[in-house]
Amino acid sequence: MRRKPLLFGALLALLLAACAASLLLGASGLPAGEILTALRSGDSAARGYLILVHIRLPRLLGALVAGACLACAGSMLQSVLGNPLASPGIIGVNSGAGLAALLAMVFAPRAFAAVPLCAFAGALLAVLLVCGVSALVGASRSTLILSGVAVSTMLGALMDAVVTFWPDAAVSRSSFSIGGFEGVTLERLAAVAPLAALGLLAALLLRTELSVLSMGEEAARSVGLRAGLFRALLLTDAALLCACAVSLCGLLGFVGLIAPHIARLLLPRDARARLPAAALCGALLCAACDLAARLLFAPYELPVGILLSLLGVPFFLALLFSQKRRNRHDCA
Amino acid sequence: MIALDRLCAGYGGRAKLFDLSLTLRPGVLTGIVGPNGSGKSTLLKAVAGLLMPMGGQMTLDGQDLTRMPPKERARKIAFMPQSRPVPELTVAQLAAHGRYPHLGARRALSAQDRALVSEAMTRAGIAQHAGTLLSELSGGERQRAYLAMLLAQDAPCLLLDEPAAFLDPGAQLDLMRLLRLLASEGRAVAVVLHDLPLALSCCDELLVLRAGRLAGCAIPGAPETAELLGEIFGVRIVPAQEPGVYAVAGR
Repeated sequence: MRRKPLLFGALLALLLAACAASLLLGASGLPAGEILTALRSGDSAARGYLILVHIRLPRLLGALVAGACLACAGSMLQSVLGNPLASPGIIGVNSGAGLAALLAMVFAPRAFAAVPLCAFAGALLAVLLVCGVSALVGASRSTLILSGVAVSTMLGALMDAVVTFWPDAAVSRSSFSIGGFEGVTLERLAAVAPLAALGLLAALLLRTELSVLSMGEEAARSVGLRAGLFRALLLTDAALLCACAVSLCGLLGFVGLIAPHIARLLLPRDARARLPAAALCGALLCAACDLAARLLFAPYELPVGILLSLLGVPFFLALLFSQKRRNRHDCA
Repeated sequence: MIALDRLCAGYGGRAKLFDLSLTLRPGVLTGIVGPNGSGKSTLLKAVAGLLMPMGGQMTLDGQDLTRMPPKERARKIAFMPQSRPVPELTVAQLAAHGRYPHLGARRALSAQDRALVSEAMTRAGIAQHAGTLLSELSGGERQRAYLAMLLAQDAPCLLLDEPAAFLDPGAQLDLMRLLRLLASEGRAVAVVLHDLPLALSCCDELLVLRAGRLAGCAIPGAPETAELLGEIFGVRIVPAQEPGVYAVAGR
């Protein structure tokens, strides 16, 4: 009974520790004491203050927001689509958001507010495309993943085409496709934060419907749930959350896969608490990986997307094997 | 009482049920039998609101079922579908979903809801696994968990699509005893069964479907019942030595 508060307390403590470390440590080698001194003195021209407020703080906030958004979106996609392997990166939702965000950055580089909105439209189109293709082919678990991979590949090719026709986009394209928080600014955060807050709040409010929908369409409708309406609402919300994350940090992979599964391992028997736990895990994962990416090879920085992929691919394979074992167990 | 009048229903514009007229009465345990593809599941799905009728009328105590909002309908008709996935929920969480149509805007379970969920799990014989994940249960235990959800819905009409699948013979008889008890409490209970001896020995009446049409309404024990079922299924229905018990034999 006390497991849940203890677990949330531990996650919050870890998150606070990661935040503190992320603000005080970095690739520049600036001593933590200088940061604290600058903060105490309130001197806005001091080097420590400038690095903290203009570089580390936006970067940390970007990691927290993007991590929570991707984790919630992954959790929702896995429940709504009935597939534990579904995640925004794997089924092409991030790519849809990415293509639209890239187009917005090419054609309206100063319109920060337009980027998340365009990314939302792109993510929504990708969700519709993947669901449409897998419904036409036959909505099994594997066809959904295969449809997602196909849609993701196609959207990736379109991103390359954008870069070919508008070479100025090439600089942003490379960091954008790997994913990272180095480009997060307070202006970008201000444009994304209201949408992210809206998406996260909607996800929390729709937790009961998400859980009912996880029983499958027929059982959900038998208890009076308007399954089609709520599936559409939940997928739209997942698309919005992915769009917010992609607008901040590019195509960051695997957070939407890893964080929901960690939450599931921590709270296997509490479906309602899993979504907020996944959001905390996602925020913690992004903040911790970003810190590690900055410190591992300091003064050089490893793009955090690379680190997450190195963690994510073995995680995905382990999930595949566990699914295979479970299927064998269910057939036995 | 649920009344169907010349109901037509099907999938993707193709009808599977044609001009079906029947009633499901309170206090009666009705078995729905018929060969594969005869429209048994389609019938239950149409009554439960999972399929939009293509023609005819469906009423519940005189109210048009097709115009009833989904939650109101689910408060009056509980349906246990044939396909029962394995979501990442415990038995208690699954059973609590049966209260969904009764929840208010906060979606929080009241003390009364919790008591009903607990009672439903006890009646379904799955209370000892309340905290167990569905994925950790056997097929029969999962069946009981879904039955608990159906009971927690606390509806006056219960529709069950093949609830006896995956259950061992003893558990099948326990289930039928429970359904009979629920009917005796004044509920209208309709159950799709493939096991003819079980249907004949436990149900008050049988609706026999063939190719989407009602081939007849049979009363177990009546002399013409064995003949009707024998003709539809191509088998012989043989009464056993014990009264009310039947066996199926080849022609």
